[in-house]
Amino acid sequence: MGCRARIACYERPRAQDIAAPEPPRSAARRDGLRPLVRDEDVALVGYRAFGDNDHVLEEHIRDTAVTVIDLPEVREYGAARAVGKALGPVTRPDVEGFWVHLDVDVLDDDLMPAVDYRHPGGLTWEEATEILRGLLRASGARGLEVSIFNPRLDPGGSLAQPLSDLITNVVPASRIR
Amino acid sequence: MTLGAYDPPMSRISVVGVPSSAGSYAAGQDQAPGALRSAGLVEALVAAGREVRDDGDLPVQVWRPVRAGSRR
Repeated sequence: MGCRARIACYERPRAQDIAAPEPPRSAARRDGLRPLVRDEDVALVGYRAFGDNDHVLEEHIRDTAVTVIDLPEVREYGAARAVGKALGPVTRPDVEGFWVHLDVDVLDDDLMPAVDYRHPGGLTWEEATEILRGLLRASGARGLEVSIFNPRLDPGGSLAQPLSDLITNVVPASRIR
Repeated sequence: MTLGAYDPPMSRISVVGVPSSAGSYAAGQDQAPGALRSAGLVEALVAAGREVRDDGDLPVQVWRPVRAGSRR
């Protein structure tokens, strides 16, 4: 599809995330792999940091060219502005399109506890809806992937429905031809 | 679960389930496509007016721990 850019809605990037926007260079060198996307073509939305794990394998996301819109910034300036900032690096003329990756642990842990790596706080369903809807309506949007949701950690089976609703609500309606 | 456009910008979409727990700490994420399908995701997309092509699920990838030094 020729997508060269990606917007990620991550709680935080992890080296073991196969879909991480770009693994730390040290990790990439260690296993011989190279990033598939340039740092400058990536935006990270909803990032929230915790003191003891804010660095991943010696490299910090803020030391890269990745555009970071963290959770406090989303809260301070609103979802619409977060969308605008995130679209900046991925809608440049030399970028053919972008892909949206949603790790559901970007959502508030009280709302989406069925994740392997839990931390308090995160986006509300409403915030996530507004952000994802804004991103996916942009002309360069090519698709959405949803990961991290672990139904085994949802014994009551109550979380797939709101997640399905979120996806349904953010995918743009078919255009009239 | 992946939703990709085959007529960008996302006016018509294809849905692909990827039942994999690659990169996770434990098994379970591979069940996500099934859970979302059971929740009626594809039907909801259609009911909401989206033009959807359901491309099914990829083969299940069984979770297993990654040995040190191996490539995932």
